[in-house]
Amino acid sequence: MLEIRRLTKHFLGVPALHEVSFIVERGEIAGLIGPNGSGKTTLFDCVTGFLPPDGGNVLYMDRDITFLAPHRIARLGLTRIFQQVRTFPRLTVMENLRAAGQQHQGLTLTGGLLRTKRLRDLDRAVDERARELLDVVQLASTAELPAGTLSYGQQKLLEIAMALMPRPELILLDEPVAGVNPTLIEMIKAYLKRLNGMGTTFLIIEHNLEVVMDLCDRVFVLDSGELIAQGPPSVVQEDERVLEAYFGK
Amino acid sequence: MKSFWTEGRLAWAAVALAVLLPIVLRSNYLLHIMVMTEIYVILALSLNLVLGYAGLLSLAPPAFFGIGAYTSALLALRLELPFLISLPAAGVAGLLFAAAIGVPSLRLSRHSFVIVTLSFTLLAQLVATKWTDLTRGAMGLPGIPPAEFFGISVTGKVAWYYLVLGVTVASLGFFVLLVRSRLGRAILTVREDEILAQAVGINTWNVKLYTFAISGLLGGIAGSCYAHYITFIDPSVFDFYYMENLLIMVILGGSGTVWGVVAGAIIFNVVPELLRIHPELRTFLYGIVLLVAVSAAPGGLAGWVRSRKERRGRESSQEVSRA
Repeated sequence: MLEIRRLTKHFLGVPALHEVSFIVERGEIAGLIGPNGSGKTTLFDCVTGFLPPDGGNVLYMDRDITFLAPHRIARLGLTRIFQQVRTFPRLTVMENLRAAGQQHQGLTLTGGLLRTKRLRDLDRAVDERARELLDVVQLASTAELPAGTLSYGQQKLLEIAMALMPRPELILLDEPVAGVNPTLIEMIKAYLKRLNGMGTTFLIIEHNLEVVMDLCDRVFVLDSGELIAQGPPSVVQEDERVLEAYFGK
Repeated sequence: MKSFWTEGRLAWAAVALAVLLPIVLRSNYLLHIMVMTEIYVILALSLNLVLGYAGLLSLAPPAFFGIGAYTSALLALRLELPFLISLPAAGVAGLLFAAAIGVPSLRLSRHSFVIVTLSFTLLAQLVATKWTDLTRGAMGLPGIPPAEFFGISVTGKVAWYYLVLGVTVASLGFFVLLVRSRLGRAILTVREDEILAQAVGINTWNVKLYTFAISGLLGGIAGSCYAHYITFIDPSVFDFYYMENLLIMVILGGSGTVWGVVAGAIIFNVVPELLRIHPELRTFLYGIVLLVAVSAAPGGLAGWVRSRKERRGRESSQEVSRA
């Protein structure tokens, strides 16, 4: 589903990623782990078009998306959630979801001024989808509040709902449970499993190894910009190079 | 409890009030102030769209205003085209210049964008001053014909008041439709978080370009009305003085709102005129007012009203929960 080929990225000569290659298969929950500064978020940025890689390719559903603009990649059904919470703070929760859904339902910007019946129908479909997702993440009561007034955990849930608005095929999650309380972690894990059961593929950066062990079918381990191991979490956990990367020799 | 005065009804009431105003205002001087206010409302919308909705500070509205004024004046004087053509032509000229400036400058950082728009305004004034073959330079263009409809020319303050009122109400209607549309939603996401907007599939580059171009369109239309109303323009139409007034109107009215900015444009046109404050002193006072206002009421008039309403809402809901 997602194929990363010899991906390389330097920052002022310092390699952040060096010839990283791996494949995420359709239907799996894949983990991306590694010590701080090992290049995980850089890899996400390169895959989603926010950073141009210095070498290598990214293929999504057999299509080369290496230098596509971020919005084009998102419209292909590959969405992402950022490490820091990002919402549109002064827009209401509902408006946040509408914004996240509008580009994917065949709605173009320029046609937006005219309120044709077709557009109204599409708008209604977006609203329906938004309400559905609000129920799923239990934020329905906050629909008309500005997103900036929600708690950190609620904003995390809103972000996940926004990433889901366009019914994406593949979602990249950057630390979805960082700083989230244990109850909410269980909730988020349950959503991800449920969505995965419905066919969504995930690639997750996560430091919480318990969550990784529980969720992921396979993990990829990055260290200093290089892929040092991959496989089922139980196997990777025993890998010598991985232990070395985390704990030193 | 729903109030009888919904937003739509308030808007119609305001329009009705504006239509009836000349019955009360019999003096030409007061009517002149009102025509200038109408023109300022259009200009304030032009700045409000970029600053309040897209979160980009553009110092180019006076440039589009001037370009619209000169386009309109030259078309009417040299080609003897009627107002019904020179008005939209001025809007299109503003739109095209905005697009041409927007393509390179919107790729820059927000701070660099401010500087480019400022430079553009100064450059436009310089061109109007120096390109004497076209613009007659500092001598200006006198004798711009007034608007004419089916052989009847619009003269007199009352007629002009209604003509510009029509253009202003049309601009306002367009503006409200725009900000409520899908494009309007996308414009807000650019202000709120451009990175997230891209991540959810919004082409923020296009959105910014459309926004800036529409701002140019509104500026050009305002300039055209001004040129035909005053019948004389010179390079001072590009003056930065307009920008200072606009910033005050938009920021103090409540940038990112429609009626707040309209109120701002009316208040900051009418009050200083009636108090007959010297222009130099006015600039100075405006600076102080702006400084005080942004620290005391950063949301402007509209933000202040909204927070009062919210507070009242909270208090009444507390009362309900106590009871």
